[in-house]
Amino acid sequence: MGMSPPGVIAELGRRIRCGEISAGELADRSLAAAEALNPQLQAFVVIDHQGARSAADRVDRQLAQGMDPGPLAGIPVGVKDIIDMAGFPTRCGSPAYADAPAARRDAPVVERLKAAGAVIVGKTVTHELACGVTSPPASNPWDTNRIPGGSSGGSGAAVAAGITAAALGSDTGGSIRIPASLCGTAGLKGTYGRVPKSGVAALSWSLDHIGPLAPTPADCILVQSVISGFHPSDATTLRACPPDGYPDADGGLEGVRLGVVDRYRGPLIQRPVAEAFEAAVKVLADLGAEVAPVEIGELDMVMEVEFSLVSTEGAAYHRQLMVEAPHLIDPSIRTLFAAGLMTPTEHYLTALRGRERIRTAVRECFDANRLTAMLTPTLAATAALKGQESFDYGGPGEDVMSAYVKTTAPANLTGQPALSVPCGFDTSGLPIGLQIMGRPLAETEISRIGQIYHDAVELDLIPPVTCTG
Amino acid sequence: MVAAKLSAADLDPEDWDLAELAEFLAGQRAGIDSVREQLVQTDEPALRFDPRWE
Repeated sequence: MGMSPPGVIAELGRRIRCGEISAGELADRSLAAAEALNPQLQAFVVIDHQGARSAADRVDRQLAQGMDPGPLAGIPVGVKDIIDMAGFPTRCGSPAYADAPAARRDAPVVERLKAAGAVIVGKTVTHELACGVTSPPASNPWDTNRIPGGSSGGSGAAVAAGITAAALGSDTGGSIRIPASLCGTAGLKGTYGRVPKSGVAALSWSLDHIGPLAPTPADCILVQSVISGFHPSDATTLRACPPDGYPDADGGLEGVRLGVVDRYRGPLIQRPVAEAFEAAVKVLADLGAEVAPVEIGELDMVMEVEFSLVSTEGAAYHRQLMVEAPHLIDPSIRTLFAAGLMTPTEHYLTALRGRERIRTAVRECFDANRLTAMLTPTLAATAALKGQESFDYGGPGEDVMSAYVKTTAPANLTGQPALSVPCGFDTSGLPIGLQIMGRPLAETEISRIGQIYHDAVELDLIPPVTCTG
Repeated sequence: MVAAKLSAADLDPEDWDLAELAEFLAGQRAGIDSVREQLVQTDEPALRFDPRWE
């Protein structure tokens, strides 16, 4: 590790510990920013003044007593509104949960954030039932006429605007990495099973991941290290040591071998995204990484397998709501779930078999090419206008959902960790993301690569709508 | 056909646009058929998914 760990959270933590700013002052700034910007951004469904002030005061008291409040001491954080937070309803962006009672206890991820000293500022907007990529009514801080992405759109907007230094999202087909890419933040989906999902509304049990959005990869891995680890309430959590939260980002990329997935350099991608991606690959090569083109034919199956699994598992999770009050679910989501309730079991098993074929092919590609990680553009396109339904790439186009999910869903199917880090802007000044997919449990390594890249390119990532404090 | 499937799933057919649903189901069916074409009989599902490679 260098003289001081990289990232916004580490720097804020240093300032709090040195007494340059108190946790209470930082909480007040964050709360004021949330109140001031929420009319424009609609990033939060609730802002928790009392809870945030109380948590911040506790951190300040602990520091005054010489105690260590934890690795996220005094850090303002947002929590996606599909995650239980004691005292607040979990409404999942859905009219069906408009009258949900307050959660009686924190989800384990929230417990872990609080135990690490985090100050939870509020709950962030989610796309309805975490099943979509637009997250209405939230707006993108780079252009409020555009979507922030989804389904963790409020989390992306809150972090990009500087309201919080991190926010939790969930990712079933890309829902952490999509808003990270569109809002110009980093976002990390860890290895499947790293983070307990209990106390979190499901979309697809076998594909759901909880993880952070934050300004830099170093911030993401620090939060990820706090929320990772086995928990008895979630049988899918891995009995593995949490990832190291402090990657050594002072070194170069010698010895790192990166596979560039050829299909995502093809025609179905916006030109500025393609150019930014190629430039990012060159930067990584200049930093010492070996770069090799790779192709995996089995990725042809990604969209069919992904949506078959989401359709069936989502339908099973929401079955009671589907039977009793389907009119309370958005028509497109309702149709997806209805299909899941009607399709034969054999279709689900075929999708699972396809998933395993994809996973095996990706693993073999990593091994055959001795890869440290794979690179793709995080998304084929930048932030869509609200209400926009498709992208025209100057030839054949595709719908917004496909443009955003085709590059991110592979890592949900394989369970690999995947990071999005900003890598440039389009001609309208909208952020573009670079995706780094690692081997299982290699969150720290891809965050190290991402942080070295982030430090090398020094992008100006302050959007037009931001807090001035 | 779609109405019968809805009823079998405890859903009320009157709540649904049957034509739209039939079209969606046909598309999903075509998708899963294309996946099946790429599999061989020995391709097994991971019924207890473990992301680790080792």
